[in-house]
Amino acid sequence: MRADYTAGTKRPGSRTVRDEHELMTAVARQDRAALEALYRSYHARLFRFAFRMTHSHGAADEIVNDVMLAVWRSAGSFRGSSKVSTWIFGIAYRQALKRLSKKSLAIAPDFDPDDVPATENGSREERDWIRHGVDTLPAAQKLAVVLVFYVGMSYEEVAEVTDCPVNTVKTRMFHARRKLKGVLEDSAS
Amino acid sequence: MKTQSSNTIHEDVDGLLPWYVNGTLSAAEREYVEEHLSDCADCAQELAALRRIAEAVQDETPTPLVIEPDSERLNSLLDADVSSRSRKTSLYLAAATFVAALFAGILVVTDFDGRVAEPVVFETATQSGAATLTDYVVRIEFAEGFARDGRRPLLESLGVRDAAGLPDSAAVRGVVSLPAASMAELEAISEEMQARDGISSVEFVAVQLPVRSDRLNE
Repeated sequence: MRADYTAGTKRPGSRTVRDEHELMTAVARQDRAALEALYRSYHARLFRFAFRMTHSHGAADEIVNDVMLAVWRSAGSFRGSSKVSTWIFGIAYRQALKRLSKKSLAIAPDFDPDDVPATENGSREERDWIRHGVDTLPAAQKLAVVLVFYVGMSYEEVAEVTDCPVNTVKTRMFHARRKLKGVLEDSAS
Repeated sequence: MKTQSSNTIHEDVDGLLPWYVNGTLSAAEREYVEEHLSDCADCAQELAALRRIAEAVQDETPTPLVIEPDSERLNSLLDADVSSRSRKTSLYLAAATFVAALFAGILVVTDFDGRVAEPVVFETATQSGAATLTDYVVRIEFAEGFARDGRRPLLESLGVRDAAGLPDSAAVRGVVSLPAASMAELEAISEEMQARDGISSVEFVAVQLPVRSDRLNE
């Protein structure tokens, strides 16, 4: 009988750690229903992350699919010592890094900064400057900034996702911040 | 002027600020950061800059999330992955099979149901004995002018099954079950097949493994 994993998909993020670990065990047994449940639960978060990194719907869509395929293939290697979300974002991180390293060949941006509405705090121009600054950071720094400010990960999670010591994560953030502060100052002048 | 100790705290807090902004610090760390912030204008300024950076990064959502989860597409990706992995495994298995088959016994051709077919028996020189049958994909090209109505019976007599395109195609791919065979043995078998009237060439293309669709779709 086919297992029903759909209950938690109505409210993304409502699964418990145990639920997600059970799903991973089922995916390791090549249970498609379990993979589909994870896919539905993570699709929006992964897509937003991938889009933020690539500015391309096509590239983001491909990254999400590649991530899910990697989850399907290697769920058996998930040992349960970390959160499923961290493990999955680790895969997404590596996929995004791979894309960014050959971005000029693979990514056709379809994001227009003019679409961003002005908001009360900070001008649109300043935000555009910052976003442009983020995009010009080295890939590892850019990913760190996005994982912290866009995905909202703790430093331990970023360290796990990027497979680096916490100090390396903090150093990457330090360098990224220094460059982005320079961008802020330039935008003000 | 900051003392050595306060410099250390300052650097420590500075390193934690991004996570103070995204709200993932523990309560104790948050308290530690706030205590220092109340007394450090540099860090307060840094915090303000970080908040503007964080807001700009978070705000980039002119992304109409038009791409919705598509289960059908996910399933076709998995289908493609399963067959691709099956092909790769086949190649590895073929290599292993060829080595193992150096010691293989009698080769026989089976009919559609896996029973030993009477008309043709391919033999190898070494030992005899029952072995697990392996499905090989074989490409057979019919001789020019060979009668169409003779094609199917010819393949059946050779133990080749599942050939698509019969009787019209001049070249077909089918499956033949054999005990593990070496490359040399397969070549010998293909030569033997080729010697039959109506066949122009025979080539063993791959080893075919069953796709575990029973597990995937249960």
